[in-house]
Amino acid sequence: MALSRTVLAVIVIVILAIAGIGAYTLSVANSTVTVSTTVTQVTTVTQGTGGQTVTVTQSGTGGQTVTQTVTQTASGGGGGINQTLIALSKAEGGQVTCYCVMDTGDWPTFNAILTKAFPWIHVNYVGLSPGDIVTRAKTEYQAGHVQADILVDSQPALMQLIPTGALTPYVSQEEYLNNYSGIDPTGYIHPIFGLPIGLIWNTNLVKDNTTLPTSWYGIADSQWKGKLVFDDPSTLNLAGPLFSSLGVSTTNQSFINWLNQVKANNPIITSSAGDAYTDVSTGQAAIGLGYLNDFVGGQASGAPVGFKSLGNTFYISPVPGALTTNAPHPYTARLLLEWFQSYSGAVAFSLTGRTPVFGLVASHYFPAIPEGTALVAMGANSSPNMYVNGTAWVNLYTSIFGP
Amino acid sequence: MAISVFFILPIAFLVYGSFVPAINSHAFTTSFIVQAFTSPRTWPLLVNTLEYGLVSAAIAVAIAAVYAWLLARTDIPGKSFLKFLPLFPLTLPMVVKAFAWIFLFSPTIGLVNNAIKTVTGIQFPVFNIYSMAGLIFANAAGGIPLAFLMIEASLLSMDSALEDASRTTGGGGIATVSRVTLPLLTPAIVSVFILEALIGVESFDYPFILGRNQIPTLATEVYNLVNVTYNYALASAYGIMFLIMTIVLITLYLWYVRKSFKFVTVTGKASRPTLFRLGQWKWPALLFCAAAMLVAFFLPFATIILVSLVPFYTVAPGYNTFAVLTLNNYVKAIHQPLFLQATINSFELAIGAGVLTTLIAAVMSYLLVKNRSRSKVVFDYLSLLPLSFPGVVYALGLIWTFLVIPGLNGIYGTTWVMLIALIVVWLPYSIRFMTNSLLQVADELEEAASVAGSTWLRRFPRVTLPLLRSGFANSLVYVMADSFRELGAVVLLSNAGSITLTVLILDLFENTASALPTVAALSTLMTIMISFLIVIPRVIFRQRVRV
Repeated sequence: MALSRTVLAVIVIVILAIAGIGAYTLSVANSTVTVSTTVTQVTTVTQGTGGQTVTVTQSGTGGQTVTQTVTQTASGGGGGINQTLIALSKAEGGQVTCYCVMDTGDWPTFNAILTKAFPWIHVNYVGLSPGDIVTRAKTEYQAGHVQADILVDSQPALMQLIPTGALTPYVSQEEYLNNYSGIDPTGYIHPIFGLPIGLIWNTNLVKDNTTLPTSWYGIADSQWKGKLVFDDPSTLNLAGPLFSSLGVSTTNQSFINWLNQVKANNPIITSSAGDAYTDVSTGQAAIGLGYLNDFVGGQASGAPVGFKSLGNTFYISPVPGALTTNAPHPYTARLLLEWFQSYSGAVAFSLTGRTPVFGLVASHYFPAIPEGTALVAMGANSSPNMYVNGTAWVNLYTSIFGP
Repeated sequence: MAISVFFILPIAFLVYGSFVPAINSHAFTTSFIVQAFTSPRTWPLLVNTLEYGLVSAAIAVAIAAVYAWLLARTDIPGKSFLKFLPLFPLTLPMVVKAFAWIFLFSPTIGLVNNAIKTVTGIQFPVFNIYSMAGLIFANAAGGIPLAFLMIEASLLSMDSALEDASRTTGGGGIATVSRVTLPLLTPAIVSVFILEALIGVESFDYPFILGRNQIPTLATEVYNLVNVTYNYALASAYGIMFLIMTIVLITLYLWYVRKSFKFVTVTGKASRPTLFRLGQWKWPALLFCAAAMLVAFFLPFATIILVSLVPFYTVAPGYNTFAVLTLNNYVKAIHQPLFLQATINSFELAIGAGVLTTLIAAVMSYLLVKNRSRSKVVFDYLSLLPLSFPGVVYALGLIWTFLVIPGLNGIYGTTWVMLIALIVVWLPYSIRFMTNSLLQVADELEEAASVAGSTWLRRFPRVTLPLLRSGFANSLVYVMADSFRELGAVVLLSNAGSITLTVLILDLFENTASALPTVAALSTLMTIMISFLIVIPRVIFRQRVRV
């Protein structure tokens, strides 16, 4: 069956036309728009059995700048959520789409607790990897077809979305009830849970705990040559942000010297922190850098792994939430975000093995985190800020740890 | 033709994306292309990529060709069992298989290395999975099923009259194979080699997990650009390299098979394949098949089963890893909250994608092979275009296609999007299955039907398709199995109700490192499920041969 040139030409023209329509649609979907608005919102909430009062004043012009004054007097925990927001969510219908890094299989645990508090809410939960969430959110925004109302992703990933305009700032009331040090003053990133990190070791291979490093700098000790494992620092997952917290600056020469000493220890470098945990638990490495929740999960089945935080600071890898620009269901998204940060949401996270930034709840469910411990976001004080300009840190780590 | 649109558009968006900093930007620049092609990092990446892809493809094709020939052309015993074995590597997700290889061949904890140490006293590790040789071995083992399915389909479609003539005139087994069988099989072998090579150069699971940052490839670089630094433009620019490789390989293939009449053996005359008697070589042949399958499937699968039966997996001097066995991981697996929904979704997507893809591929292959106009060449390239970008980058093109094109964005976020995307992703493979079989079929059978008054719509399903039953069955098996266990580019398009078993496994694997035994249990259950998808079509479409 032969195709004539005419038919072929028609097909090519149709394809080019479709592509042209697509390109045109794309170009107008998100043209540069200058919006001048003045937003002033004053919310005063007095609620909760703890008697806390939270006053939030938000004002800004230009649509992208938020100046906020927060006056908070609070005692005890608990809290409630703004009734106006609840009413707006009900009026919206209660639907909300959430792209989240959490296991899809854990969502039913959340949903059971959420729907007890807010029975009208129906969450379309989509579990994706951190990179996939960024890709979808950015792409949907640029195509003018936003589907997700709220994103929960790693902080480095969400920070990538801010310059694209795909995220919208918001002042969350529940946020200020926590003693978390990593609150974002611009209002885009809202801490929800974190992954505490620490030193992990194989208890079959390291029988004497006193030989373990007592500070992070101790991993450069030559006794760990060939026995140390961590994830690739240039992926800015666990090791990368932790190192940036220690060195603070990419030009700190003593820090760079220390990194070279770590490299000289011939560490096993894996593609993820989970792989690093697997290497320690299976016996491929004696010590490594790992997450508390991996340790807790393994402990339940008797895995021969120990965990401890080193130094005076309990570092966490923050996993925040963020609201999307042009979200189809903005009010229910805000309600869900507030609930994630509330006492009830913190308990839900704890029940799935995740450490909430709500310190009171975290220390109750995770004995490894003593009460009153400040949870510090890794890399928050780095220079350049790792979350804003990760490339400088990626280049540094690549130059040392390769390839 | 409509399907070609789905091939072209994602690629078009990706090519466009390599010239602009953001997809909705009009600031055209060649800086990303220049950076990709001139960066000092690029050459080592290219060398690693080509070495990994080409060598593993050659090994997989060689092993599969011998295995397929033994099954299709000899009286090797146990054929009814042997014909299913090469398909079982399709049942395990690559990520899980990667860990099975680690547990077998890691220099420190590998079961094989430790066994050799115990038996022989050799203290250094004999095998190292964390090396280029280890990567090539793992990828070659994984490539055997596809190569076997394609070559077997061609062999079963091939009339053995020419081989009979060779043996009748005194040509021995080796002479017949080398001078008759191999030349006739060359299009299939070249075709599957190109496909395996493309899959190899684009694959990133093994280089990512087993390469351990020491053996970077273009695919791992692209993955980091998309998922770590979010530099989509540079990722698309690197993707152009894959596009060039694809075009070069396709061109070579098309040049080689340009005289397709040379490979026709299925004619209007009645024929049934005859078998070569192995005689004393029967048992070495059986040993070869058993060894190939032991290494490609049974060893990793047995390891996964063992890991699924322990509360945790660890190796230490004096420690008995398998002292305590338990079925608790299977209980945990089945009690995963979305296990049942994921299983149903997996079957629905796999069967839907398998059937639709194979049917569409049958029609498209027919147009490709039987079309004598110059436009045939264009469609030859089009049919392989989806393979020209790694899955992680191709996903970007797919998502743009579904978001931007009017009409398609209405189904964005639904399961239909995943089904369409699966069809687009697997169609190139399916077309190769059908094309290899079609090359063996002469026109005279259809011409006879046409002369008798049959329209194309009547003769295609009644005359042509039955002649392609092997290719049809194998395509169905391959697409269903791969749609079930690997979602690749398609997972980016998943939505709230579309969770599959693969996503459940990957979620658990990536978020809870200590859940490895439960992941192993889920993988074992998935293997059993996929086995049904493999066995049933091959039983339904089985072809009898004369001994």
